[in-house]
Amino acid sequence: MKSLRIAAATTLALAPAAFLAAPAHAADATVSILHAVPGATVDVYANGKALLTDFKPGTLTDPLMLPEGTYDLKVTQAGAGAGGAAVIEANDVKVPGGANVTVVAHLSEAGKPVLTPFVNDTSTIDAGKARITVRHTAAAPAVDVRANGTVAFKNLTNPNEAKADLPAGTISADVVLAGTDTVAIGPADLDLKEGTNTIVYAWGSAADKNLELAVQTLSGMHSAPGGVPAGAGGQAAAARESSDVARYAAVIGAAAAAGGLVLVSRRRAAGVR
Amino acid sequence: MNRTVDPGPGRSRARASSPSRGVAAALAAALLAGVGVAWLTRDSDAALPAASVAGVTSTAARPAGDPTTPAPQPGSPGSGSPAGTDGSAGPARPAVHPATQQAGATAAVPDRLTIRRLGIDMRVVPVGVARDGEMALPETPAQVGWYRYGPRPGDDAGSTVLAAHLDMPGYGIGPIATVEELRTGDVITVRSGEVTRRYAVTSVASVRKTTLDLAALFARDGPALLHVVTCGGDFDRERRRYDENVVVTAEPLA
Repeated sequence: MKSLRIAAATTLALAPAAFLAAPAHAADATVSILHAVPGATVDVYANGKALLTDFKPGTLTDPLMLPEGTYDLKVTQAGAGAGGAAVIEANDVKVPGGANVTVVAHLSEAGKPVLTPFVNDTSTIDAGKARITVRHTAAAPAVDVRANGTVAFKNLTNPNEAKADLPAGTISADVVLAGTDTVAIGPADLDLKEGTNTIVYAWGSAADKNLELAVQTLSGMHSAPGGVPAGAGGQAAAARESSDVARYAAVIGAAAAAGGLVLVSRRRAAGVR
Repeated sequence: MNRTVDPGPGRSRARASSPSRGVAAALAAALLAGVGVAWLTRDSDAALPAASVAGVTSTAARPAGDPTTPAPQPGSPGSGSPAGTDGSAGPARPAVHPATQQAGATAAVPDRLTIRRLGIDMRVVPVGVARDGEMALPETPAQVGWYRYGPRPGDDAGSTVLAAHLDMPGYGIGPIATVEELRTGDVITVRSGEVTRRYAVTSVASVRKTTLDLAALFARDGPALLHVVTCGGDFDRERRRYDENVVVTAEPLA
């Protein structure tokens, strides 16, 4: 039984989220769980209750709404039961209200199973852009992440992340050993959809040669363009102005003509008398 | 005139007032003619503003208020996460799926806008966002831009946005200029490859750019709508900008 207590680290990792969220009232947190420990099908318990069963490596849960609070999390071999030996255990994991968190079961750089809660950036993204977040959750040394052959994120280490907002579109991404051209993972095409946060996890083990990418997409952060500049010539305005001038001229002209006609006819009538 | 059937004292008075009556008659005739010409040359949209403004307001309010679409406002506190794809997951066992990218949208993109009543038949091209953060439109007023990050015609929810330049130096006035003349119920046709969809106009509004509800115009949730947009209002020659947008809202016809 190799249980790992990471409550302190967990609390530290979530501290920025608690600071950012600062809800006025108790709010649910959005929690997804990613299984990124190669080879082990597991069950996941939260406060002693089964949350997930037969959870397979490389799979991800849909977002789960959990009341804010602290949770004791335990990961066991599938079917081991609530009292079974823990593959990973993390007590007093703080889940702050309003936060969007992905809890990742993965290997440390040294290859031990750990749980790391990452706070997902769900802030609004400018129109036309997409957010990419890369997370090092593999038993591997520092890496660089390249987009279309150019280093986009340098010297990323386990269990850390880097992110950027880029123009939306498809990029070819690969992971190389930091400072080298030695490809560790990829290349893989990533469709960075506008207004979404595409989170890419490097997971697995370099020693076991099973490094892979896992992808999680969070949507709904899009925003509208700043306006619709649908005219630059001014000809339509000019045409309308000149037609307005012509219109007023016609109105005045018709009025004058009609008035004049009446006056003339009356004078004529007076003259006849 | 009554002068002829009015003998006696009234007669002299009538005669005395005759010049002023003549003026009055002339003025009346002038007024009648003026009003007549004004009516004949009136703006076809002169009667619309009140209804249009109401239309825009309800359009703006719909995405947030429509009870049939409980889509959370992105970023609003307490609404859970904008990232939640299934807010009803609850504390029950969540669904699990492979951590890979999902297949993208497959519906065909729009390529033709036709409004028969106005003689509009324009090519539609996908557009995105310009460097300044505004919608990028085709340079030529002969083409319509479709906002490619938003919903496609045929999508279940949200507003498909088509916009074209009203005018452009060196081109003149574009065909889109006449959309101001659209009326409720007029039919707009959008072709996407092999599929043609018809929409019925529900409102035509001129809105100041400073008050335009862009989030509603470009809504990605709420009812499926078509927004056809161009410019209107006064033209600022120095900034080369109009101060209003003309927004046509149309609903899909079954």
